[in-house]
Amino acid sequence: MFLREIACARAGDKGDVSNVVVVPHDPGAYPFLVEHLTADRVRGHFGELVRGEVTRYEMPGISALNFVMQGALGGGVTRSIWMDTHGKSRASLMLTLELDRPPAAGET
Amino acid sequence: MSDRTVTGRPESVRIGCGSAGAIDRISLGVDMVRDGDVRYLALDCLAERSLALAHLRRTSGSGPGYDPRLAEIGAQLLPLARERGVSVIANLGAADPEGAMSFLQEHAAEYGLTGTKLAVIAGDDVLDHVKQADSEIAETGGRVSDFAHAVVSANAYLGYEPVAEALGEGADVVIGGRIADASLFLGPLAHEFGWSNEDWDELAAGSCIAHLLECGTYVTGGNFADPPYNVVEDFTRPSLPLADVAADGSAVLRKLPGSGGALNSMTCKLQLGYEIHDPAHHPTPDVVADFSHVEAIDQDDGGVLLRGAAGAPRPGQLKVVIGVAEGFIGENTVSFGGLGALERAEGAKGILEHRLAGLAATYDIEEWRVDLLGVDALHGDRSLVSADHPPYEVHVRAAGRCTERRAAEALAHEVEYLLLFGPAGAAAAHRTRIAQIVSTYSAYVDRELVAPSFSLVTL
Repeated sequence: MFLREIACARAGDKGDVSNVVVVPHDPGAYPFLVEHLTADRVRGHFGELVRGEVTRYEMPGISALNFVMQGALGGGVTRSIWMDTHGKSRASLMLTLELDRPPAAGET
Repeated sequence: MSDRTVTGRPESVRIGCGSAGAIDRISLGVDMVRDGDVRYLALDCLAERSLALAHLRRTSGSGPGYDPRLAEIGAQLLPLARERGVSVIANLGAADPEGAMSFLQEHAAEYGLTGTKLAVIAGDDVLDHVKQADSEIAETGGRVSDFAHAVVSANAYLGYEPVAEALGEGADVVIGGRIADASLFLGPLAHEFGWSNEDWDELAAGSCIAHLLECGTYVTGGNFADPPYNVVEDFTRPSLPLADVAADGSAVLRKLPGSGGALNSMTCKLQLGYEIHDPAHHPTPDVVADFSHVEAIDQDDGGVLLRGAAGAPRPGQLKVVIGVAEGFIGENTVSFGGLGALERAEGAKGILEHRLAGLAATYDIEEWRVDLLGVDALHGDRSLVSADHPPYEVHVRAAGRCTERRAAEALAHEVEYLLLFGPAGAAAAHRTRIAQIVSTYSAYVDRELVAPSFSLVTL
């Protein structure tokens, strides 16, 4: 299952740091994401696009996870030679991450 | 008109966004004044790039240092705001707030703004200070002096207080340079509700709603549609957002009646996390906010209630954005289509990689790359590429960051030369771009060393 099936995402930039917030369509999926959408999974998924650390923060008020990625934007919007200097399309890349489908209600 | 409590303070203040960035349409700000029934309108006109570009315009003499939309704002938006009793706050001064003031003074009669009280906030320009102090550059660990004469600008992010004070002195319009985005909205709220600069929870709540308002259409349906999961029916009539803010800083976010786009708890949740790092410790010039327990709750009337922010004391230092002239970007693209387009594009890419490696030995090219648009230009080797269904058209794009303009031009020419000596069917995309780079870096200065002030004039 692609993450896109159960969540949406938005990417922001500050200098060379990209952050992608992931919000499940159903807040009930938040515990599943907390367990399975780890910083390590995201680090592996983004690979060499991110040269620095990936840190995950929890936003329980909106059932969301925020991933902050250092060294992610080719130096930042004002000096990057990449096609996507702001990294806005990184939200779409996040949503291509593959997860096992969460158990349906009643299953473990 | 909002009801006032026994203390004379309103129970609710309605504030709208008039612009979210340098490329936003002024007509949307006009719509907000005309149809939003707001008491205040804040325009965020700056981002990392736009302030740096403004300084470049100013220093090169190629254009004004203030927002180039000032004439349109002065002619279309400010007169209507005056007529409707809407006070306006804007960082449209950019690299030249004094110049913006002069422009409005010159054109006041023509625009119908005679009698408007205009406050101009100064103090964000700290270039002399960071040079004298040889401040540390956060991104590199080096010093300002490392950049020598390439430093173009240094501006501290100012907080809400000069805005609130100017409004307290009767200003109808408040303009400045690098006022922090959220502070543009926080200023009128603190002024109306009488918040002190140590009411941390209120300042955090105000900063939260400001955070959602200042990016404009991002919360009213922009950057959201992803069918079939998120659907926006109508892209023809965008609305900027507005909010009804209560005295404790909680707020209901809305868009204009009859507008298209979408505003709901999901658009608000996505925007809450935008450009945030640690949500529990989000520093601004005014407060360190905790957004981690903020809730966004759909209301029956279509608005979204935002509540739950908490605040801690503001930082002792102000962030400074430093603009540095760092050479030129050269970029160009050629296109291939039809059967075998991907293979021909990959052939062209191989040629370019060989040529650009040679170029980099002759010129000072710090970094260069070749991408295949339609295949891997956005996400590199993370892209999902189908072997069974190769793309019908592929565009080969090269870009490089060069010290000299002529190197950037040489790079672009290498791409163009593929039309003469490269795979079959190459189409010129007419996409040569040679752009001067003004990069931004960060430093921090003790807040006591920055003295914002404002002057009040009557147009």
